[in-house]
Amino acid sequence: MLDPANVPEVAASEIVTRYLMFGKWYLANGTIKYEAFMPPVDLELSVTRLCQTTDAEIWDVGARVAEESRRKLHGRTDVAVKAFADQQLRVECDPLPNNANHALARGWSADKAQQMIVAKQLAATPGLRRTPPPESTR
Amino acid sequence: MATATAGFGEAALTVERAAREHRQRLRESAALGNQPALEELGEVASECGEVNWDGYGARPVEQETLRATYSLLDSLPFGFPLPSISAHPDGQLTLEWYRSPTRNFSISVDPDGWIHYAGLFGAGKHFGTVPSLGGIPGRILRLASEV
Repeated sequence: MLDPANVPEVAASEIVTRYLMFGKWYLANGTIKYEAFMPPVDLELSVTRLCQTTDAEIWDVGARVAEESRRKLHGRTDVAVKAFADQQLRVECDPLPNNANHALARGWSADKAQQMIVAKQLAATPGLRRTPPPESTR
Repeated sequence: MATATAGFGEAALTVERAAREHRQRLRESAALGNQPALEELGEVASECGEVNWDGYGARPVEQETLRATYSLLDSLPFGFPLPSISAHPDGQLTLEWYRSPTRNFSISVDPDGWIHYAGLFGAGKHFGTVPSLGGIPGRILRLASEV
């Protein structure tokens, strides 16, 4: 994971992941639905950076978030920061005490219909898939 | 003359009664046709009835939202393709007609009666907000049917 004392700005070439904790955010074939990218009411979409992490660490963070929320971790989907930039969204670092890799996608319109179309275009990013969690975190 | 009028009146009543029964049967069959979507609506509303149902602090789906979405779903014309149901982090419910990641259309009604819609149609896209006025406007139905 990133050094909490030295968290770099998010680079345009980075990949971030979005944890899936609701069963209707993906289809059985692994396709991601747009609802996975609908912003919360504060218009800050939570993601986790994959830089300087191992796969096991990323899954550990997801498992902890799900456990704290008393939700089931259904998996995750990895998205290029460029895909957010293509929608005029900014991904900015937002390190948390237990997740230095935490980041937020900001710049969402307050207009609901615009949020929906942007989330749909993010979900239509080629190659976007659900990665199911490993057995150890289920 | 009076008898003839009465006879005519009875025939009219009979026709009206038959028409009413026919309309009722149509309503019932339409309701049966919508039943899978209505059941999914209930399941989603129940699953999203508590705060943080998505693990990211989502608002719960309120009864008022459920009623508004039920009315919208119930207003679909007989035989119209049924949408799938989901929820947004603001606690609103959403109906979606889905073919692929680049071809789908969704609507969401808020408690104030506004319908928010967005759809991808290959290279094209449509989105906006319209008043529901007690049902789904024809323009929205046309977009949903184009998926």
